[in-house]
Amino acid sequence: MAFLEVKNIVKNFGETKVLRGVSFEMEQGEVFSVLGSSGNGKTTLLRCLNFLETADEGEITVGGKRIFPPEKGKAKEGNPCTFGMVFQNFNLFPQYNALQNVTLAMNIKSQNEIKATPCKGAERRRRLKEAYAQNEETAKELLARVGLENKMKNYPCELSGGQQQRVAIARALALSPDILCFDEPTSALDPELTGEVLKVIKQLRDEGRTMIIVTHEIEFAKNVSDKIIFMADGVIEEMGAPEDIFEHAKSEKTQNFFAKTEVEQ
Amino acid sequence: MEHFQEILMELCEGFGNTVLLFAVTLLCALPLGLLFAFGSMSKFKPLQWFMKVLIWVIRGTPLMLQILLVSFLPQYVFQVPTKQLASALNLSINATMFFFVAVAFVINYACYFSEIYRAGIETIPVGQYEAGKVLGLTKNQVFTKIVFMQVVRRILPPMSNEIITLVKDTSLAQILGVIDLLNAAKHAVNEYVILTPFLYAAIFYLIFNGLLTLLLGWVEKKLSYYKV
Ligand SMILES: Nc1ncnc2c1ncn2[C@@H]1O[C@H](COP(=O)(O)OP(=O)(O)OP(=O)(O)O)[C@@H](O)[C@H]1O
Ligand SMILES: [Mg+2]
Repeated sequence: MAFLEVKNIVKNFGETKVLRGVSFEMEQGEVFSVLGSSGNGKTTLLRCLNFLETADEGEITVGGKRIFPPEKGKAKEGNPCTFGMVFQNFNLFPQYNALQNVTLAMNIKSQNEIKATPCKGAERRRRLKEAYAQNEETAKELLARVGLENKMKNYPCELSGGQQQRVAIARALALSPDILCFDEPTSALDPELTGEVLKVIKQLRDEGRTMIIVTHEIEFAKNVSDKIIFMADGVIEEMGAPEDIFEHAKSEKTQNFFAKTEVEQ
Repeated sequence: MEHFQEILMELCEGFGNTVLLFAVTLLCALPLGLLFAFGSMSKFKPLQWFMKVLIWVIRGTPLMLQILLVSFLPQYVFQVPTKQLASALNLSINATMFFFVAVAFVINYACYFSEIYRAGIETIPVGQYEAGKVLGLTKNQVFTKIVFMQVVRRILPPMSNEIITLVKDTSLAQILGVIDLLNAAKHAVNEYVILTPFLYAAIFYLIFNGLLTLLLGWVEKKLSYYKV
């Protein structure tokens, strides 16, 4: 059984059929890139994995545990955080500095955990304080790993796009998700800033992170991925190792797509 | 400067009521307005419609009419004479009148505030909610930890306007005989047959609003460390 199993995900927005049965499997430590032309449901697929959309049909299993559809009774509130998400336009919290952006979710998680224990009053406050200090250490390490040790106290509006996206990556790593998803992480960036973000993603791959990356950076996808998923019309048109997809695509749609992007580049 | 001392004393007393009404209205209407805003954005349609109609009616009719309505309601609809209500509430008649005024003010201002809150909440990009959700926050946590501060930041300028207006609106309390600042000034003008009490009252209002403007400006500046 594979680490991540996505089976037959279907998603419609009213009459628009966006995903018509997407299935794939993935092992821990693998990196997949999702390519395809605009409007083919790449973002929607990531959003279904992260429960930002509820798939109409299908099943998602991670590490042998079914996380979608949720078991009856317990559902809805709170995301199990098996997946992390890095958005195209960062979505950092503007009122928090880089460090606080990263610690926020960790601190809330600590609160929930400590509230669930019977300890009260001063003891609870002491444990919370301890947890917060620990979280801050973790956050500092994460920010250092994305090369922002000097920007911890800066607010998002004081950071460049590339720096903001790196904070967003650190924030997504904070809860150590099993699988990290990126939705066009460099599309909103000036060309000279994409490099620093791609470098961080590459570094995460070398650390053995499991990642799904939706991107238009063909060269990058080729270098970083174990497998390429090519999507067309709401299904996976073709999937395989980068060299197979790029050099010997079987499907005509895939060939056309790469022929077109080559001309563009 | 005849009777200056007496006039000042009377005005100060009136000013006390003005400040009290201002503070009560603000303290109650700010949270109530937020609840109204949630109501008017509720997915539960009947509640949403009820709130929208209420807000439309309250914003579309004079505050003075609402004050009169509140004061007559117990007597005319529930057949409870105001005196009886006053003793039931353990309040003097004057205090009861103040109470009526305050109720009308709170409801009126909650409606105005709720529209400001709603506009503020609706400008927060959906990405903020989504980023919170994928980090495992519940809806309440997303609102309290992420959205609310951004809303406050955005609505502070229109809120400030409304708060300054509230200071001046308090003078409507005299319709029920409440001795607010302006009413006290009016009494003094009649009593001493001079116009200066109006001038003093104006100075009181100006100083009060001046201080408020400074305070709100300071808060705004405090919050402008980030852009939304
Ligand atoms: N909330 C929604 N309501 C209705 N239609 C939607 C919604 N979200 C996406 N769609 C539609 O679903 C289709 C796929 O959208 P999606 O964003 O997944 O494409 P994409 O492959 O990510 O495209 P791009 O490369 O431009 O980002 C589009 O036709 C879009 O209009
Ligand atoms: Mg997309």
